[in-house]
Amino acid sequence: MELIDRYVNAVGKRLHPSRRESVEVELRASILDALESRGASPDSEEDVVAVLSALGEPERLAEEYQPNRRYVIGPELFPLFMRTVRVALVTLVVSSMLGFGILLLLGGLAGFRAGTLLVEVLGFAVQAALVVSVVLVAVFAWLQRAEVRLPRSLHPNATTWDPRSLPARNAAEEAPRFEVLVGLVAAAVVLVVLGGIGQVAREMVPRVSAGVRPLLLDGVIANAMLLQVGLVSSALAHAIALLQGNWRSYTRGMRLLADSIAVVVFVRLPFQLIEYRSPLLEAGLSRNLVNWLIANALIVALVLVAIVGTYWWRAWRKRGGASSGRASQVVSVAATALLALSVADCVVAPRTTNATNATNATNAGAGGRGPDSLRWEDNASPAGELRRHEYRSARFAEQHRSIRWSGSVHSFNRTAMSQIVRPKIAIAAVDAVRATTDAARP
Amino acid sequence: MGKQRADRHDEAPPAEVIEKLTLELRRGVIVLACLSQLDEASYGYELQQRLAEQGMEIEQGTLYPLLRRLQEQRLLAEEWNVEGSRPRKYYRLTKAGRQARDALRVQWDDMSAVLDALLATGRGG
Repeated sequence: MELIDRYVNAVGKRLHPSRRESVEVELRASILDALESRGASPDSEEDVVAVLSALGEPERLAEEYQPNRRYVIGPELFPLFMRTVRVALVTLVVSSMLGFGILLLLGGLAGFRAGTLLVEVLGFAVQAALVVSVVLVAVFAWLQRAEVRLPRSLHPNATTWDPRSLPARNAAEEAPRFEVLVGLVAAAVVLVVLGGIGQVAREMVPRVSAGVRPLLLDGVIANAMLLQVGLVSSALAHAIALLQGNWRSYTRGMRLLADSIAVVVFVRLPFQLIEYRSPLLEAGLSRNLVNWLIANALIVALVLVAIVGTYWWRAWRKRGGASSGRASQVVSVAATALLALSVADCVVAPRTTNATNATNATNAGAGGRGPDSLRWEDNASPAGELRRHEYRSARFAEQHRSIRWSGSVHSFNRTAMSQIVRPKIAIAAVDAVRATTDAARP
Repeated sequence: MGKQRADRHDEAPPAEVIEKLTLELRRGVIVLACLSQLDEASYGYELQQRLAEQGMEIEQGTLYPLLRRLQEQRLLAEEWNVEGSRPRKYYRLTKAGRQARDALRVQWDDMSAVLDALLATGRGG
């Protein structure tokens, strides 16, 4: 009899409380009926074992009583669960990005470091997404366990499915292996070059203190972390597309994130120039040149926003047409050009640095006459004038520590690039280019 | 190579495959078998014995949960009899249960006829 009690209990404890008692009573009666029909006593262990063996393992029998209980989230609830998770995560990502955009607009002019901000926002979004997912799993698992019945309107088969609602087959969703591979390699190369720029910037710390800072490089460095997030996102999207053989909504979303970041960087550049306008003018740079720089940066940003925006708008309307790929290509070309110009900026810098150091030493000896007496001042070419303005603005920054870009490069070098990304290949490449350029100079 | 593959396809299917297919075939049929016997109230063990006598062997571990599911679907009604040596739960067809049984019977007759014809015209016949 004790064996029967143990068996009945083993089944009952796996059942929903609402049906446990009645199942236990029924099961016990059925076992005793089976023993009776065999002419056996409930105290005959051999017969009890035979009857219980015929009933099967308690776990299996309990599962038969409630087939959906083996799921954490059963097939009836799962579509609603997935829909809820999708809505929650999309809301989270959109609100985070919206928040980031607003903070960027508010803080961008006040010298916010967008990369750090984005990393913080993304970190928050990932944490929040994890919490939301765990909470949703817990809620749906409880609904499953409590056997809550879905209202008819929420049932997976509540609406009749129409095959005509299927999206048209879109050739652009296919990701040709070669194109995706090129995208992946390009993102990786740009990431490495960006790392190299960080290294160059680190090496340039003494030169900064000597008063020379390439302006374009500064723009890139200020956005380096932001660019890194975008490039990693792009590389990941391409790698996943390479494995899957086609573009999906989330890989396209990652590419859109990468493109958006690049566009944000380009939009920030003129604002940074506007922020430095007064110091630049005070440092002696001609008003025309400053305005020319700002206007050019603005035009480049606007053209890029227009082109990329148009392509993405087309892609959106055609449900991921080839336009999204073209938008990424345009962004890649623009970003590469920006980085190439920055690298060129670094490569040119050493000669002026040496001249500056030498001149500074002379100036110091002569009572510190200031930068206007530099020997490249008489170089009337636009590049020469630009170089002179860089020198002057950096000198100005040196004297007025309130200017953020001068301070940011130190903290930047101590943290991100010098600690995280320091690809030797890029450094070697930059060194090689620099050596070649130096050798070519008279 | 091709011959080897053909030979492999000619092998008898493993016993567990046949067992699984038989289980799937029986799964729907046992519902109709139960409904067919419950115009009069009956308890689980009694029903199992009655079905077995007529050649429909159903394991107790399958039958008891099935009866409860049919009851939850309102096709069976329960009646507790506490007069005997122990309380017994009796099941009886409800009105909905009778309608379901009749509908399933029509389906069964149709399917049976179609399958008979198919098996007769195919190689199975």
